Amino acid sequence: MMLLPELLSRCAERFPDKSAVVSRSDQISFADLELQSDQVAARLHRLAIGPGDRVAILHDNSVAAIVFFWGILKSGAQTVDMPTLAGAETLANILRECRPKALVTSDKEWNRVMGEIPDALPCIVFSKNDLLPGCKLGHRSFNLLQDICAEETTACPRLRLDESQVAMIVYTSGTTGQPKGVMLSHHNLISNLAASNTLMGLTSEDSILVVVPLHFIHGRMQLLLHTLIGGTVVLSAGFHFPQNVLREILEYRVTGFSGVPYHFVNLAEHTALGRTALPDLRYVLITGGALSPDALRKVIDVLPEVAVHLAYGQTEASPRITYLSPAEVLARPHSIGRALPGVQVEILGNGGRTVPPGTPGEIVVSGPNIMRGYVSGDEVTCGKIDDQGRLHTGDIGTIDDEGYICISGRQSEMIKSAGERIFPREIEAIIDAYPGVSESGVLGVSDQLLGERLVACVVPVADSQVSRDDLRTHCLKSLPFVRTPREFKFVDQLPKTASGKIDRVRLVSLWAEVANRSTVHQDKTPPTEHATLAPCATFEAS
Amino acid sequence: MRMIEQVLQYIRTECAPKSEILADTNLFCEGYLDSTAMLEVILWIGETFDVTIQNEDLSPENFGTPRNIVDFVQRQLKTPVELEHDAASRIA
Repeated sequence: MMLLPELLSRCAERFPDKSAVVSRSDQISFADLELQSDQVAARLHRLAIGPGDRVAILHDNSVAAIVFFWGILKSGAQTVDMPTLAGAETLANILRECRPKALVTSDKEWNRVMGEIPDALPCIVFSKNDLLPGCKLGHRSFNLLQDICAEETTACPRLRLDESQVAMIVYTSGTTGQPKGVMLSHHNLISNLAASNTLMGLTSEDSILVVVPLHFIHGRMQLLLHTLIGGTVVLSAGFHFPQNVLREILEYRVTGFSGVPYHFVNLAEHTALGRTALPDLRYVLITGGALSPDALRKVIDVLPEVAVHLAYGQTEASPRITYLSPAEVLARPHSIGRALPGVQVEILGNGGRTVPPGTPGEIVVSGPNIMRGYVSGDEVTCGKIDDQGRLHTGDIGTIDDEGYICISGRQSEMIKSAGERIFPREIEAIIDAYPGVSESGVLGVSDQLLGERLVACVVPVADSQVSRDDLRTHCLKSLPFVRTPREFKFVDQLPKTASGKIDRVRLVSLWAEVANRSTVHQDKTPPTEHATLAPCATFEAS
Repeated sequence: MRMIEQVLQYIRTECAPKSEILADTNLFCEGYLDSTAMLEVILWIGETFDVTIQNEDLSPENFGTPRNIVDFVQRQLKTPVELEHDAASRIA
């Protein structure tokens, strides 16, 4: 039996002086990370926060946020990762659902949420920096990291937890439009980390540049995996300027980089990747969506000395489900690999029966990595988990005689844009709330850089003067940029199924029709059409 | 419309409808733009002002704030003779 905090304790014993986490402005050794997170756990214990409680983290990637993360786990409480770019209402809904006892945040995030959703915030707050005095409204307990480190002893009560208990809650998009809190146990995560590294073979000599937010399971996986192996995690300043990411890979001499297809297409197209020697980079891992065979070929061509690994997963599977090794990537460019050790993948056809090899069906997964459930408790009723405990991914695929899996489509309505999992109803609810809108249908259209680009068909009410600019601004006030439709087209009606729901298949046809014909309720301000964000006349290819 | 107003208007309407975005607001450190929004801004700059943006130009120094963006565009729009004159003035 093992709990996640033991991964860190082992590293602190084996590599006390080695850098555990490095950022542009900060770094911390494994010994100090162990010490400070013990002190955070002691403070949480003193505040009567422990097993069964939840502590939310609303924080950009930083060393301090990682100290708090480990401190929460050591206290026995569950971490709740909150998406930093989410709108205030989404954050409020998450807080109301999971009811955390405390919140870890930064001054930037605190100022934002305190102004918009003060009543939803917990009374106990943790941060690295002092929060603006004017924002300390209400009777709240504020706990600064420096005070905790100065005041708390490291005597932390021994954890009495079972490995099957929930360690982390990660919020991810849900079919209903509300984010779902995915509950992952210590056993879920440790089994998945161990199985993944059995195949990838990373060692304490490895280090990784993290460009994805740690509130995504993809980011947490990188942090946990490098704590398992005793490797260093380097936090990137961000992916806003891809050339800077290349410089970080070089400067920090990381041996690994993991990203979604959006990152790799960007690095290949908009940086000097092919002309830059990266002597320390040993491997890259592509996950979070399909990279086209051409794009994959290009990544391999510009990184001839680097091993390219592929993985497929979902937050609900902690997250890895399948893996394709560097030796197989070129030979099987359409495959997402085979199931991880201990994980079973089945392809189910209509009626829930296993289909023969080569026949398309839903990819269904079972094993020790499958989540404990959703915070909302509706994982069975919503069909995500079946009566045998299997995870229904919503992805359609085939499996061959050797166990290699290919994804051919999606059963669910999910859209993947720049690696983000988006369900149309979340966006439609925002659009539909705008005055003058009767209803809307959101879909993803193919995009070379983003994978899929969000667009919307909108039915205005009679005599409505609503414009594309109105809707765009309205959406941006509630949604992050990546979740806001790039284009809006006004239509008379949406295609519906017999039960009155939006017919998603016919919606695609409708979009294709109106996108080519601008006479259907011509929006007032035609958008600047970017069929793709791939290199255009304003860019010169590297 | 002045170029800085054009840039501010585009960012406020197309990327982040926040009135507090000003000429010297750090667009990405302060969390106003994610990486996909930043790319959109860069594409719009290239198309709107008809300037060629090299991969090497994509840096916080050139695109960190609305004012950085305007300075960058103005440098791009200068002729080689004007740039030479600027350099000579600095040396003098």
